Amino acid sequence: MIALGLIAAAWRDRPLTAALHTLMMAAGVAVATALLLFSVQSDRRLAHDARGIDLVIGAKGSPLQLVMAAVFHIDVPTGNIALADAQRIAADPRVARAAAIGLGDSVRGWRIVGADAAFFALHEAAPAIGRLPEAPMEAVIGADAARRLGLRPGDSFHGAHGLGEGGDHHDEDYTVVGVLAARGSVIDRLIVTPLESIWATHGAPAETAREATAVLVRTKTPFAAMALKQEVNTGTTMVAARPPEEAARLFSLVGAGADAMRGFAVLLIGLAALSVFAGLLSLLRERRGDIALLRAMGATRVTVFGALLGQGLATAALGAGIGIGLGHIAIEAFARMSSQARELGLTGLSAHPGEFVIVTAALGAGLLAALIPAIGAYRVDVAQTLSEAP
Amino acid sequence: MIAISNLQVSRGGRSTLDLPAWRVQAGAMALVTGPSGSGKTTLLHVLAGLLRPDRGSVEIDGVAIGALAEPARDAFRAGRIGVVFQTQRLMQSLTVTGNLALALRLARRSADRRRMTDVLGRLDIAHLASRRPRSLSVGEAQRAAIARAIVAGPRLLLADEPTSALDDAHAEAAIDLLCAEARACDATLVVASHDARIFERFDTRLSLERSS
Ligand SMILES: Nc1ncnc2c1ncn2[C@@H]1O[C@H](COP(=O)(O)OP(=O)(O)OP(=O)(O)O)[C@@H](O)[C@H]1O
Ligand SMILES: [Mg+2]
Repeated sequence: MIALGLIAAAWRDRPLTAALHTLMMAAGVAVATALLLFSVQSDRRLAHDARGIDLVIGAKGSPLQLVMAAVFHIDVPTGNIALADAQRIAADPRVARAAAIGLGDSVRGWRIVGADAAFFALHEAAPAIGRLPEAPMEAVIGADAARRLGLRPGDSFHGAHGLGEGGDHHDEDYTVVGVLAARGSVIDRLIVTPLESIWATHGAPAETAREATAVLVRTKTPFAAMALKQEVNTGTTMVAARPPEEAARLFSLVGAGADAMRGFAVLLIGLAALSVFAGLLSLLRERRGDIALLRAMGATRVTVFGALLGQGLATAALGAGIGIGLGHIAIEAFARMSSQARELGLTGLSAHPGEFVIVTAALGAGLLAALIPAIGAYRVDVAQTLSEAP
Repeated sequence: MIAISNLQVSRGGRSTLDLPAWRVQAGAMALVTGPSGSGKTTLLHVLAGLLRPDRGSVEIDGVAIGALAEPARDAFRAGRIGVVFQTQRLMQSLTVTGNLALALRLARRSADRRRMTDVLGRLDIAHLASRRPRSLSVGEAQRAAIARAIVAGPRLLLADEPTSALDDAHAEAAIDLLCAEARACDATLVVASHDARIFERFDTRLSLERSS
């Protein structure tokens, strides 16, 4: 194709301009792609992790924080509640299933959750190898945690106080009795042990003084969840929160920032298109003689039109390709550097159909930017231009 | 072979060329003379199919080019006509070789490296093959433009004021080159010029008057 050769020649003729336009387009597409991957993946992860949990009840404090700590295992808990209170809720006739959990310890950044058998039922989790814990200081490991920590049934490990990496070490040894089958949800990243282990490592309180961090509840009907939430929030000192509501609230908080970023991405792509437009227009002005000569050598109007349009499209396509790659690299780098990003399930290694829309938008912008200069090239008066002084 | 009858061309509403009849035999060397503004460039543009006459017919090798649709005229020009223009001689964004390769591709010929080196060698500019036009001297650019015009082996070679910027020795050499190259590819040559130094080199001459 003659037009393709001309596009390549134009790029070789002005490599700096071409590189600048391509990079601008790449920057816009990269921001849009990273934003898309971030929101889609974290949204999916939060929806997935909260599946089957209609209500969380915990100590007084921010409901958002309670959900982030007890369901998504991202934030620190708000405090503890009395085990008796937790048991009273579990006994409510509207409750289908309830699991009291105890948080606070971790192994090299992976969280230990104290919970009874109801917790596995709530998360629909079953051991892939070994069995579920039955006695204090036995633990079953989620699929991801087991792989990353290299723990297998029969191994033992120390828990550390606190939820970050490298807290004070407890003296007691946990024994691994099983590894859970991967569920693609938060339980893959948890280490689960009976609540008694948590009490034992924290000074073995008397029967009446026993506490839990929160209760996860599945109600029989959605209406029951609303009613129970209302009762707990008005009638007790505890806080009840519904994970979908809190996730939505989180997204409305993050959403404002995401909207700003989206606007920024659109601005970048628009600026890239504008600079392509300006570049092609000045090319048309400065190289009008070239275009006329090209026609005089026998190129058709359609060829010169295609050469300019193709230049805009090729810049956009190259920029979009680089941008998609950069967006994925950015998300993957973020996921590897931050454990919070990992908890949100971010990965640069999977693509999303929405990227197709971003690429189409970039190509459309490039095409639009090149259209007017291309029409100008189509219309060049060859005889007139060739008889003008250079 | 060129056959023109009753040719009338106007630009911007004014008649710029009025040529009742003119014939050039195949393989002949023709010179078009006349004062500035008499329509020499206009005539070459009409012969190249770049300007459509208002009236009259222009036949090149038996093809009435005015009757061809624009894409067909473009293709005809690419395959059969080489033009050395008065000012715009080479594509500025391409090297000398790039210009030659493009001319070959537009004529639907393969960009044969041997053929290009051959032509550049004959015009004594093989060493300029990878240079950009703006780095060439006027004489070098002129020879490169001749190379570009003849590389695809045209049947008709048109040259507009090929000697205007050259000293006596170079003007002589440029005309020698054009005649030799036209003869080498068995093409008809039409040169437009008001340069008196080159008159006696041509067997066919046409003198244009400024139309009032
Ligand atoms: N685009 C145009 N619009 C109006 N008039 C034009 C246009 N192009 C050329 N002319 C006029 O047509 C006439 C012939 O022009 P042309 O360029 O053919 O002359 P020429 O013989 O080549 O002159 P020179 O020796 O100076 O190159 C001139 O009077 C010129 O002003
Ligand atoms: Mg002229």
